[in-house]
Amino acid sequence: MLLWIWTRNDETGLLDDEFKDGDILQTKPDSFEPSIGGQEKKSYLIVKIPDPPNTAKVMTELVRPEYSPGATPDDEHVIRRKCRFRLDWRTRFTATEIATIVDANAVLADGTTSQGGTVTSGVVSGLFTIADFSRK
Amino acid sequence: MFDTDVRIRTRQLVEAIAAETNLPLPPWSLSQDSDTRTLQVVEQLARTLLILPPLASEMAIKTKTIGTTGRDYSTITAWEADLDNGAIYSASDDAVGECYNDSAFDESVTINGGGTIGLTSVELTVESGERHDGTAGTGARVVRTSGSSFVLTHATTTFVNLYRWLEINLNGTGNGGVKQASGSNTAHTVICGRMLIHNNGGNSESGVRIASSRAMTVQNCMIFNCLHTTATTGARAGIYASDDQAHAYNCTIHDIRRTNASGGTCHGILSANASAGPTFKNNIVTDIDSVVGGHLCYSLHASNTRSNNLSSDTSADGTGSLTSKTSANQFVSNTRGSEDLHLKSGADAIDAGTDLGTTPTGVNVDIDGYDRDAGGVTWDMGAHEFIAAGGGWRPFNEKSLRRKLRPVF
Repeated sequence: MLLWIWTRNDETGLLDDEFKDGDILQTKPDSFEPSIGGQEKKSYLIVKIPDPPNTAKVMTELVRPEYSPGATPDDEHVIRRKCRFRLDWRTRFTATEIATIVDANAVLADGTTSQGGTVTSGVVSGLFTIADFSRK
Repeated sequence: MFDTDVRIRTRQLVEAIAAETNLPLPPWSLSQDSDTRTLQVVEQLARTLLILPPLASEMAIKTKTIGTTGRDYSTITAWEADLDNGAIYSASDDAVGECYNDSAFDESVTINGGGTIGLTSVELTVESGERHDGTAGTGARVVRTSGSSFVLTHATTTFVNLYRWLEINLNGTGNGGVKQASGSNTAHTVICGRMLIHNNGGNSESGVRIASSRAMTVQNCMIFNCLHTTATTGARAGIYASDDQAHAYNCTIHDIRRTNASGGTCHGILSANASAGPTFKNNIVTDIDSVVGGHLCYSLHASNTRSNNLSSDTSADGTGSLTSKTSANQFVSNTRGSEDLHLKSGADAIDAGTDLGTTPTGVNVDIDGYDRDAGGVTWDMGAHEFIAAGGGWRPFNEKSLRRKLRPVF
């Protein structure tokens, strides 16, 4: 499973309607890997993890935003960028690797990362599993 | 070592501070005169800090490609989320996302990025060679496989947003097409143009929904084959507008229906705003149906501004409007699932519109990219401007030509 991870705080990093470091932007199946664009490899950290049980459900739930209550269930107002889950990705990279990852004009070089992950065309695998994601 | 002369020393200190803080000095040659040079450096630093607006020469159109074959982004979601990325965009830039027909997109996206950076405009469009030819399945498109929200939800208030040329095939799902949810209330700053929106089902939303206190202009769009089957009582429409800055010009809306006896009604164009602001001109609305009755091609408030609209029922009113017209007499094909809503020869809608000039921006360009204003033609109603064979230039559309020639090969 592929996940796009936000590598900075968008704006203040406090408000509900802002992406925050570690938020999950989107998920895709492994088969989508050849379709990943050049700029998004630089703008986001794209990680590949082993498919968890109930992959399809997990892929949907990881990106489903929080809702605020409305008068009726039909009135639920989506807080668009209030993500429920995040990845504490920074703990698995060195300062130098982090600097490259957060640079929107750069992408990690192919090869092995400091903690044994593998970078292939901008996608990091072998470093995270579903267990590394947490509920905010 | 800094000079003892006050002016020179000031310049030296400013340049040293700029170098220390990695703020860029002007790329152009600096004056040798100390006072002028100091001012140049200080102004450039002020632009960098957004205290001064950027120079016109520094504003740029930043186009990013969206698709699944070697593009900048593989999804509209990823492109939109990067609109506030200072490494890509600068204040006053125009951000353009160009979709390619590499494969169908399948996503719902809220567009509200770019306000932090201070973009001038955000446009989501389709690369010129990848656009539809006015019929479904011929250009870059979103095809939904699940979900119950709107494919595009506009939610920014700070600048112009344009949505153009994209086909949204709701594929029988409960999604809607485009929603103006919480964005600008200034007229003609959010424009939805030359889009195809069709084929929703289930507990679906409207084709286009313009919320109260939110402005949107829908022009030269085709909205068709929209079905609502559940018992939800809220109204549904091809275009459902609730604001005084909701406008629809030269749109073609066909085959909107509800089939649940416990559900609400549906309309082609529904306006819930009781002012003269909402304006509806040169539209075609045909074949609206609801089992609960009360359905109308046009359900407008008496105060709304309208003229030169066509309906298959008697609801089109205002100067120059045509009523009780048959859809089969207007379109190349009104067959559900294989619609071709281009006007055909002899259609009542031909030459029955009113000339809207070029305001709002792009209203003069039809669903195929033909410029009515430049062509000097008498405007038709609907999204397509009919040009008789041999009568005037139409943009060359390679896809359309190939489709017509296919049986030959």
